[in-house]
Amino acid sequence: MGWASYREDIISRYVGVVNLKSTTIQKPIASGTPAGKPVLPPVPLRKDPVMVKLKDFPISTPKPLPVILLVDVSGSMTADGKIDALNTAVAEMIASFAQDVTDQAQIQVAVITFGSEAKLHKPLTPATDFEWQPMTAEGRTAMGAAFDLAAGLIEDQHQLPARAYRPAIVLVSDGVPTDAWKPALDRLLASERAKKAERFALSIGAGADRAMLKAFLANPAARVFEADESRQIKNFFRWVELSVTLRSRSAMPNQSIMIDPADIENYDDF
Amino acid sequence: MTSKAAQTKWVTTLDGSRYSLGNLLGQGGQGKVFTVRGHPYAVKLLHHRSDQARQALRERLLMVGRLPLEDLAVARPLKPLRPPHLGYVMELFTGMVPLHTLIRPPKGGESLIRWYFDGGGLRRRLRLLAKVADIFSRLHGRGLVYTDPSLQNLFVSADPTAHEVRLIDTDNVRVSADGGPALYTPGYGAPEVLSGARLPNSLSDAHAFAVIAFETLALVHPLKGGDRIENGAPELEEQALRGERPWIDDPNDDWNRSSLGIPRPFVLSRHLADAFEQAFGAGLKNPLARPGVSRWAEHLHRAADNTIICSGCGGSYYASHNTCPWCAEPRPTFVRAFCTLWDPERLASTDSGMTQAVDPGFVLDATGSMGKAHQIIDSMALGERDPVIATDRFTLGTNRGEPQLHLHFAGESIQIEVLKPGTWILRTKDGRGDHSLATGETIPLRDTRRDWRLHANTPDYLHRVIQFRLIPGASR
Repeated sequence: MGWASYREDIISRYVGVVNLKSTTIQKPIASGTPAGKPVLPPVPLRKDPVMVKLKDFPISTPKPLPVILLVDVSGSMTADGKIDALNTAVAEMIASFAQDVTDQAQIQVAVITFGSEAKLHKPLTPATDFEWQPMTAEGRTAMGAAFDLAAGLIEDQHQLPARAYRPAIVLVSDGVPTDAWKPALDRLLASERAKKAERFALSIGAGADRAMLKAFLANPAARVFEADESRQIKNFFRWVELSVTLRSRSAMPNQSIMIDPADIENYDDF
Repeated sequence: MTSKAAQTKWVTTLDGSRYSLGNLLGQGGQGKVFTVRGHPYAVKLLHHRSDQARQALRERLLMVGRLPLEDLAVARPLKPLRPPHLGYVMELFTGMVPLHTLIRPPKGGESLIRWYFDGGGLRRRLRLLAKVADIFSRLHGRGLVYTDPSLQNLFVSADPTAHEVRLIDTDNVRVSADGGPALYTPGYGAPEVLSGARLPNSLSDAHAFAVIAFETLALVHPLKGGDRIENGAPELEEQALRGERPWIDDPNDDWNRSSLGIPRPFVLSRHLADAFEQAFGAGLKNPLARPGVSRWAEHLHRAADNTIICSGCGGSYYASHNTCPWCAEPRPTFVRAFCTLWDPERLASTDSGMTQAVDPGFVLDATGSMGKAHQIIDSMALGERDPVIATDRFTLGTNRGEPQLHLHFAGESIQIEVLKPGTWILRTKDGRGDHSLATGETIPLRDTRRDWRLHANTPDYLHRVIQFRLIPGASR
């Protein structure tokens, strides 16, 4: 390649690899000391490194960028392999997050599922350490309880420290909530940090409550992403992934970057 | 899914060569980089969605291809791609890694300082940065701007004993006056570029370089590395990067003090500390107050020249310390080689009766009234059995990177080998022992305590004089 001719490393010191061309002394000068003693080759100066006590210093750590998934695992999700498609898409998204390690942001993921009851399927964990456990679907749609769980997590300074970037909240549902979701959503949206969160909503199939999902987004300009088949579920999570990773790499990771979800299909071309 | 799709992709260059894409090497805001199967190339594919942006980028790639960059250590866009693809084929460096690898230690690794040493320690970091600054300095000297210096597009030898540097992403290079998009990498964009007040120019390059240099040496970001920002809300970080907060080592404002990173006296020479204060103090808001990249090159080379190796831990540190800052081992004996300027004009004006027979060096010392004439203008530390090659930067004050002398302090003597033909005259302070050194000649200065002077020219010419001083080791 073109670099072969580039001059190699001329000003570095040659620790250990000195090749003195000549040790012949031309003429002793002025000092009158005897000449001609052979030059000693350089010796490694390092003592056994284990023996030496070195000081240590702390360095900065990336700020957390939390992604909180609220996933409907009601019984209806078992139909048409929806829950399987969801499991695959979420696992792929988290695997991509794990590849996205930047100096400034560390993406963390929590998964809250809601069926008969809402539960923390996976606590907030750095994507790089995440071990995905597939979700199983059964029961009703306790979405209100899931909102309360999410609000509790987001407001908890121990789990989401002040230094964390604005969280992203992702809501996925295929049906109508069976509990009192509205007061719970109001509580979530009244929370200082959840209010500022970046929100994504996925409506799966014809049975989903789009008005409710729209209320969750609480932004007239934001769109509910609709999916009728597993490819679209995958595209939705690809959209979330791109939005979050672009943010983690952006100059201002606290600002949201909205990608047009319609662009997702062509995003992989060049 | 991305890499699977890419494995079947082909691209064609404007001149008709077809390449099949291999692995994804990296991706960022601008695009993706793939290896090319069967060739030592990489393909950078850029994504820009608007037709107008794509067209502007195509034109810029052609322009960069015509820029005079042959002799610089940059990866040129070799061949632009044919539509529908947007991007170019470039050289792929083997055995090189992004500078980033010298700043972010692996998670859960051994001691931070051991890891710092394994990357070549202070001396190698200084030298690599100096060489990066050299490249920027040559770019700027040609009226070009790199635009987006970051830890990901500056490459260095993977081998910690080698000191090669290269720039990639050369598609961002532009002619100073050209304008073009205000590209920058988070954390490295100059405040005036972030705010949109100015387009990237050589001074925004200088800001990014200063941030990179500080991080590489001290392992902490100079603007957002303070404790308040590290532990505080992300808004503070944005304010700091916009230049609305003092920098972490601001001598007059401790709002942004940091307990992170390596203590600055360990890693910054006095000149470097001053230059950083200029860059992030006055220079944060006022681009014209920033040190330019050639100034950085000068300070960094000199700082590297003045490091010695610790006999205890093997780390490098400034010879001005009496004990190794890393492990507290007393400093070993070393020889300080320093330059003064020989100025025949000044000699004549102060002592017109002077003759050739008198050593003007002696006169200089005796009159003491010549001010700058015998100020030390450059110096380097010769550790025992830690040989160094002095380039023209040291011996002539130019910066061609040309090896001139090989200096080796070993066994109570200094070996001087002349690598570059020239007029080299060795004498003592009292004017005795004139001896011309020939190329390839190696001469030992047996008695390191004598006041040897190595002149880089005859007394009639302005030139540098190298002197040597034995500095005994510090006691425990």
